[in-house]
Amino acid sequence: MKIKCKNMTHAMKANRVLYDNGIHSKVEKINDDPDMHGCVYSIAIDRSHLSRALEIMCLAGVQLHKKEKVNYGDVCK
Amino acid sequence: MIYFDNAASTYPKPGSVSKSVGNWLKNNGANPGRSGHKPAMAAGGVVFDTRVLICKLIGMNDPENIAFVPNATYGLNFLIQGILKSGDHAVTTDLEHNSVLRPLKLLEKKGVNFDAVCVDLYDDNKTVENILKSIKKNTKLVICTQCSNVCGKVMPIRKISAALPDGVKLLVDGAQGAGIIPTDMKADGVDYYCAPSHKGLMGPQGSGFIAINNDLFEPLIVGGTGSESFDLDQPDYLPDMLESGTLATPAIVGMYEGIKFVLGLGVENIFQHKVSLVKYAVNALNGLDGVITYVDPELSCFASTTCFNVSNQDSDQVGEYLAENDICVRSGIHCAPLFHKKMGTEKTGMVRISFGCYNTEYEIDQFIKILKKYLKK
Repeated sequence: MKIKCKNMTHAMKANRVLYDNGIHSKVEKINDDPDMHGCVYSIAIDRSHLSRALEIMCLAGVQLHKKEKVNYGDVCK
Repeated sequence: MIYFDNAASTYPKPGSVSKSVGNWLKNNGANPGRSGHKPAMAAGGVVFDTRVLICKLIGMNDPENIAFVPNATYGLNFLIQGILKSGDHAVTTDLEHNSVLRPLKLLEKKGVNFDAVCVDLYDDNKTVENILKSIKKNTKLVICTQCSNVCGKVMPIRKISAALPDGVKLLVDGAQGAGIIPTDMKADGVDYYCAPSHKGLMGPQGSGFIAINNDLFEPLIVGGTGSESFDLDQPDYLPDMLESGTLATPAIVGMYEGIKFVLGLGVENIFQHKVSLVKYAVNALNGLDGVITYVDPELSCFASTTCFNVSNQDSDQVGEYLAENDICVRSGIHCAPLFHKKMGTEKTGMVRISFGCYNTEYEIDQFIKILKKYLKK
């Protein structure tokens, strides 16, 4: 699954911090979403890692794209 | 050739820097943050890794708070013109480069006032006191060099930040400090910092960075960022807000290798080396009849750079003779008019010698031999 990040820098940040925590991910440009305009970058992860990945990303200060449906909620409070 | 013009631009660069830039130009020319193909993603990756390395160098946590700019002058303009608005007041010092003084002078026409206070080269407490005396109710920003580009005075940044009242931000011009003086923005209490790649960071010319540890400000340049493309307003988040247009990726690639080299040597080691070379050079210059030096490095901290004159001769004459003998120095005013007024050298200028990582005491000895020949003429 893909989580859209605020920009490429945040997607790269997510990629590095997930790697540091043992989660494989890949930075990808969103090309298949008609609702996304401009250069939007996502972090692609295995769905099974979602909850932990969100916690790691939230704690690291990774910002998500405003149109991303997944949100941090109280995941890292 | 002996190269003592490192305050203008360091030379030579580490082999890893030139190799990486060459390889990049040969094997990848893509634009970071614009596309999704492999070369573009690789470009994005190296740009991001450089932000991370800069954070490590200057004690920052978040790579998104590092924005790339063409050089330190652009960075200072972004910050000074972005932060200060009509009715605001700023305080700066008489050691500053025109890259600080001219933006401030420009802003005077837009209703911003500023004071340039006297730096006491030997009493840091007096300098802090002078800054504090100039603070007004509407003072928004104090702008201070980390190290003078003429005399090499290392400024007491931590003392200044600790003394500033709440609400007054500190912007540090790291043009002569980055990669030379150990820097920790958070511990030093620095709100904004900027530096070029091509000086102490040992990278190529063409890129530099701004580091932001406080409030955002209005961008001076807006345009394509790749993000939010249907929105005609500039993105209000970092680093996109400050990075319109294509980045100088080859220069950033070189900056990455340059910072790696600097971190490998250790900034504290580099600092001690450059303090020691200044002491050695001033001591040697003081032994020559007819040579005037302007600082005493035994009484305060001076790094990398020092300056001298021969009697009351124009510094350009001396600089020309040294150049003819393959000694590269910089003569003149060094874009630091207030410092020359302070020292009474407006008419003659000064001869500046500035050291890099690779310079040695032996090279200073060779330079002194050439200078002795000039003095005998």
